Amino acid sequence: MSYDQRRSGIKDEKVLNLLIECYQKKIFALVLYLCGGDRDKACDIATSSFVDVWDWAPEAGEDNVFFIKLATAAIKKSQDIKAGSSFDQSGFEGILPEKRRSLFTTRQALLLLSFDEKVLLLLRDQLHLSYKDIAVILQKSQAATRSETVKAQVDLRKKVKKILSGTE
Amino acid sequence: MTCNDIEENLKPFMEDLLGEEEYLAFHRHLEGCPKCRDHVGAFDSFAGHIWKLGDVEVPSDFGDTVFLKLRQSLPAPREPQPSTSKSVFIWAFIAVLIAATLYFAINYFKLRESLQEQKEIVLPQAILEENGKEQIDDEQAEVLYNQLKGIARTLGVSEEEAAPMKDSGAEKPLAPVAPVSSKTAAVVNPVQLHWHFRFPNRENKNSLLNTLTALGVKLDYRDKEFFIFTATKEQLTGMLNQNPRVSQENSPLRNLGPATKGKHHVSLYLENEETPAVHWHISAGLPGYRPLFKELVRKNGGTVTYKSGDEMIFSVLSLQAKDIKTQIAAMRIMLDEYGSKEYEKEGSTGLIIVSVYFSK
Repeated sequence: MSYDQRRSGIKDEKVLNLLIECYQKKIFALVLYLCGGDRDKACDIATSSFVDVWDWAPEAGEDNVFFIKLATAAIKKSQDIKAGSSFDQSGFEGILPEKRRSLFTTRQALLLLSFDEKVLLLLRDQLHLSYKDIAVILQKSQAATRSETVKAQVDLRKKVKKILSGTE
Repeated sequence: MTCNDIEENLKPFMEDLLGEEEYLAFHRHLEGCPKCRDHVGAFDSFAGHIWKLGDVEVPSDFGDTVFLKLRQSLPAPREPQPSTSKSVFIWAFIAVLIAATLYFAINYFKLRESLQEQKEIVLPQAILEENGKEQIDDEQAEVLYNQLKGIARTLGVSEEEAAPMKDSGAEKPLAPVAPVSSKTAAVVNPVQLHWHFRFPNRENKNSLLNTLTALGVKLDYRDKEFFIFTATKEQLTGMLNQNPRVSQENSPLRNLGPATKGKHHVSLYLENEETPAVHWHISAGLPGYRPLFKELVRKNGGTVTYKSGDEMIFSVLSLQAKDIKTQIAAMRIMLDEYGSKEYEKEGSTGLIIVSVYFSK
């Protein structure tokens, strides 16, 4: 895109605002869990992903494609982050205490999975993307994506059991 | 998908057995139906947990950060690459150095004197603002007068400049006044005349213009009822005789001016109640006043479109024209105004053209 085209692209601030409003939470959450809860890193990666993808200004009706490109960029940027666990025990107020405990346990287990498994579960169960879209993001076949997701779900259950039994 | 469909598909959803289209339809319904969302969320499943974990707080400046990064990422326009020939650069540097040395050597004493005497111009408005007064006092007026004298010396201004300035978009000016040739040097400078012609209607104005054309007089400048031309005494006499309106008793054109053999440089202001023209007479007895006035116009956002001998024409916004008048008055310089005063009305906006005659 030429300098003038990029300059003219940014003038579509309304469009960009709408896209940010629509996808900021999804992308931020995705990156937050991939970064192990580091909010600053997550914000940096998520915002940079918007910038990277904005070069490709979406046409009308291509919102989903924009989101797929956004998720792809965000995952790529998150790959090199050494994720720890920066989550604290706050959040999800208003939920019953035992349910909160379940949530935190699942979160803990999720963070113990490999990067690829985390990506699969987050894209499928948090962002509710189809296997077709996930396959596009990860550049794999649909069949491979589906089977790997199932495997990740099984691994997640195992991690939760270990946490609950105190062995993890 | 309806709420009933959600209930029917709940078990396959939990076990991730829905087809892709049903899966997407299922979630689309949940996004729009809080009741079903809460119902599904109540089921304790890992998928449900991961979904709930997505309910995070986004930083409040997320959007602003995106825009900031986007603007920062825009590449700067490429600047033209200068010639990198090393020897050309070196020779050019040496040439500039030699030229600068010669210039300073020749102008050393002149520059030293002018640097010692040159003072910063303090415009009346600045003085007024500083002192909170409505008018500057005698002491300040004298300071300003001395500054004007200094400006004249520093600038080495010739008050007989005749070069026209950039066209401001008004009626296109014609060629500038031709310099006096050496053959008429006996009379040296053309006699400078400034006349007003009060015309009652457009017909009289057109008649005057036709007369000038017929007499072979070419207008050097024409804009907003202010004409500038050079003519012999015979041509001017012919103009007065042929145009009955012009020779009317109340017209100052009857007073032709000193009888000379040379050319007359005439600036003619056509007065009419309906015209939007603005015309000022400013007493220019102070030496160096004209460059200061030009600076005054410039500082008030005006553009000088014509400058010659005793005249100046500039365009400026209505509001700024008022300010210029105030500042001239503050300098205790006489100003007589002719023509439209519409620009002084409250709320007046827009560009106006002002013709100025510097009277002695």
